[in-house]
Amino acid sequence: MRAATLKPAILAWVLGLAVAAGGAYADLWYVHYDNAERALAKEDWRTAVAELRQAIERKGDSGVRVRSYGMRVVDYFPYLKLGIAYHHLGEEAAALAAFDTEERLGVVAGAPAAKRELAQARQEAVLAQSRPAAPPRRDPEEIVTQSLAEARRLESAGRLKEAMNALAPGLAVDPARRELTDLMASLGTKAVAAEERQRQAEATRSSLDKAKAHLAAGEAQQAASLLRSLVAAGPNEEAERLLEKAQAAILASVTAERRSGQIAAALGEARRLQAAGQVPAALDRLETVFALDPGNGEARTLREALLLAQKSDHENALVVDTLRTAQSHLRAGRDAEALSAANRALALDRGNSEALGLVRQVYARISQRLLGAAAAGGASGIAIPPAIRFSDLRQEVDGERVEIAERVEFRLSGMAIARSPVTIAVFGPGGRRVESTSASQAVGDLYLTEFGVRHRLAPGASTLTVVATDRTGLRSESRYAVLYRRPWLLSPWPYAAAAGALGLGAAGLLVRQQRRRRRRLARKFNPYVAGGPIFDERLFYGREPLVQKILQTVHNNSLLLHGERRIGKTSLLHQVERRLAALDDPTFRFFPVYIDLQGTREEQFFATLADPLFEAFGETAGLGERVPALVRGTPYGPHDLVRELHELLKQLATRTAKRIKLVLLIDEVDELNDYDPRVSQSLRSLFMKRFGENLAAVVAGVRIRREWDKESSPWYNFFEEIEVDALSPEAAGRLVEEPIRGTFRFGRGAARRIVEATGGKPFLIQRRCLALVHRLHEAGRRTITLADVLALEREDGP
Amino acid sequence: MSGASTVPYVIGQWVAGERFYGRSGEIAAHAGEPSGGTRRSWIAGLRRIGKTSLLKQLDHLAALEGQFLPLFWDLQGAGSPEELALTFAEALLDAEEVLARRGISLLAVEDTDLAGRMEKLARAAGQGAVWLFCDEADELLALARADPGAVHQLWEALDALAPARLVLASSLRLVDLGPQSVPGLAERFPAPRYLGGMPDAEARSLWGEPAGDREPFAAAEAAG
Repeated sequence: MRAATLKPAILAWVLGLAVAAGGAYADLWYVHYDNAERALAKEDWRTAVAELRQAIERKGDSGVRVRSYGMRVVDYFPYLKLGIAYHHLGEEAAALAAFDTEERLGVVAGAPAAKRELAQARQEAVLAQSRPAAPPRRDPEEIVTQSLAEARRLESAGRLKEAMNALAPGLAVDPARRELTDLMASLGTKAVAAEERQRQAEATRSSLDKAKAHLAAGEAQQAASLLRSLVAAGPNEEAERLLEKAQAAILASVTAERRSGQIAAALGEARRLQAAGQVPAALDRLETVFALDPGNGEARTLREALLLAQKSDHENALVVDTLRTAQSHLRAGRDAEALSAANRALALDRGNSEALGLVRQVYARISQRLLGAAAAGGASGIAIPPAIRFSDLRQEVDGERVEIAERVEFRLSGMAIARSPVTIAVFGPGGRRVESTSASQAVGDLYLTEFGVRHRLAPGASTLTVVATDRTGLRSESRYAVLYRRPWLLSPWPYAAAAGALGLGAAGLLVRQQRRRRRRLARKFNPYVAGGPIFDERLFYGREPLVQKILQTVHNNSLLLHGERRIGKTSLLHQVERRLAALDDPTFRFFPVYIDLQGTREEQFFATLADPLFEAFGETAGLGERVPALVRGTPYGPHDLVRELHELLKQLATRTAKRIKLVLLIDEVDELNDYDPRVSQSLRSLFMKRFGENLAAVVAGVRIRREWDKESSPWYNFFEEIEVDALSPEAAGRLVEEPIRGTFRFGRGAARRIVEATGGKPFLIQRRCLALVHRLHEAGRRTITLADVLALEREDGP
Repeated sequence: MSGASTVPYVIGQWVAGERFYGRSGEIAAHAGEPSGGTRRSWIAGLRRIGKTSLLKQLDHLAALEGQFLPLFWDLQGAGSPEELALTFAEALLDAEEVLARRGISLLAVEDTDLAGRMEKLARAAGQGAVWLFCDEADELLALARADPGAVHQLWEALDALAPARLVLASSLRLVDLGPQSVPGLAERFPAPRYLGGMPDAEARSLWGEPAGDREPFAAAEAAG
């Protein structure tokens, strides 16, 4: 369905939704991207990195002419820009990783200016990296000394958090230095204590205010609970006075004769609330007991347990909050602050694994920056957020990219590219989590995580949000808009009509079959094919065992199909092409392509191989326009093919997390025997290259086996050989009878005679049956008799 | 359609890495540390005995080890000086990823002729940093026939590259004819080590493995 066919009302609604969705994050990705571009222009590389990472966190897929705000569109290549910033910061490994990521996203291949910029920037980064390793920018000992001095100075000034920040460089270059670790631990404890004191002071003020409010509202229990905590925390005259007042109010509400019952009820209620995890409410309830019986031992014990639980909850919340702060600093590139926050979390919870991971990550980044190539494990500090790439079927509808779906069951797939495996979370409309599947695979230094989502669409516009988070906590998200216009047939009311029509339909079926037969007869229906290959799988009989053998072998081997002319090799190649393209293999993704060498001159050979490859997969690989080699007017030799094939395979590998296998299905390969032997050598040498692991050939020929079995042949023992022979009698019988079932009949012995006379050779069967059906049309009959078959044999020969 | 069960054996293509079995003695012989200068060795054997796979495995191990820059050079078709240069350019292209890992771009080693490419590679990677594996060395016979001077230029270019290791693989034909027909070959390479069938124990480890869901593996006789 094309955008032009959308009803204007629906279009307006979609755009309204899209714009609203855009408005919801209007201050997000493009604001940061815009900030980053300004920072790049001002050569403020650190700010650019921080802003780009913020942008990527909100939009992890690149794009050309992406709508930002209003009608403004931008080319969005955040990884390219990130790489440029890293390059200028001297972090070449990170720069190259960012460039690789942008390239793997693929969009840049279709944007000539950005592609040039990427190539240029990559070259500069590679050159910079290839220069002799620069000596460490600074002496580690000097960094440690300065770090310690600065931290002590700030500590003595009471600026504890800043002191912790100052320790970061020293710890990053020498994490095991005792003076540093001791000071960081001591500062962490002090900083947490200082934070706690500050929090207590604020809490005291707040609790007093709240207690007064409770008293004024007649809620003496709640007031007493708060005030008792304040009194327990330290001398506080006002709190003591108010507590007495609250207790008096509680006492006044209970008559003397009911006191014992009230105490038991309050204790029971407090225990129930404790069991339900409602700690503050349980403490409130105990106040009745304390008011009536200040020395009640049971109430005191229960109160201590409740206060302990409250403290633990508070500390846990504090750890979570501090870690969140550390993550936020890390994402924004504020490494020292991130380290300080992570150490405060460790002061609260020694051994917290998340905090330890953050500390390691920050050390790597800071030491990489300070020591350059000399930093140990520097590459681990590369911080490139995951990139997300969709199997993109969106089209532009008034500036918005939307996929127009025609089915209610929608499938979205894609992959995330990151420095580690990522976890994928997908959210549908309303932020509801959508189930997804994902699998990661290492490809070079990167991990490709393929994901898939099945989602049942509601009519109208929907947006799926994919969030990818790598092992270091770096995350990015991307949105995919889809418009589903429910077909009229899927509306509820047609079902009722359909049910009514069912009865009529059954009756009509018989009539339809008769009409179909009449129509077929009228248009001289003849399904047999003689002379050309079979493309229609419904007419492809008896080769399933061969197809299976090929499908099971081609993962690791090349195959040679040999057999006499007209035995069905070409049809078999076409079926294998179709089956391989549809094969859902757990390890490989197959890229099959059929190549016919018939009549190919030697000088055209390599161009004849190349052109179908690029025609079939050039676009998938994102290689852009390519002038076919056969029409270039310049010679195209094996080295040209090697160069182009290298690039094609490289790009295809970025399109899937699976291993790729380009399968060349080469027909009429006997032509090779008439060429200079060096042509075969050059072809074979393709399979000897590193990329030969991603190649397989299934070749078909007649005489080829005899030639290639010689030890002097380049193809000696190269192929797994499979003979393509006549069909089995059973398969041949099906080929004879099934194509015309329902329209024509075979008389007694007629079909068997065809099978016997043709020896099960599919071409002869097709030709014989084609002639017999012609004969029936001419005679106006519907039954092929044995006499018809024998008469044809007399004319044609058996 | 979901994936059919697959045949794990590999018969025509070279194998390396997890799919490579055996040949531990040969690997030790050809991968031993050079004792100063270039260490040269020569593998000779019948067709399809596994010479290419052995070279590819040495190349694979060198890449894993990471200290040296491995380069696999398929000489097939290099029967003239021009083709020789082009096959070396293809070897560099084929090693693009390995080069990139060491920060070397293809542009940095691009040149118009073989000697220029080798000189640039030596500069970019450092002398003594390259391990060079030359397959289908029988082509040297054709090269010597076509242009004996080209063989001398090849030796000079290799001297300039000064690879830490240079392993040659050829059929027995080069062993028979090379010393007389290829100038400088006998002086530059020690006697070849003949690559035969696998020792019994190694062969058993290959065909004795269950074929179930394991990663594909292959006979080292896979490719020659």
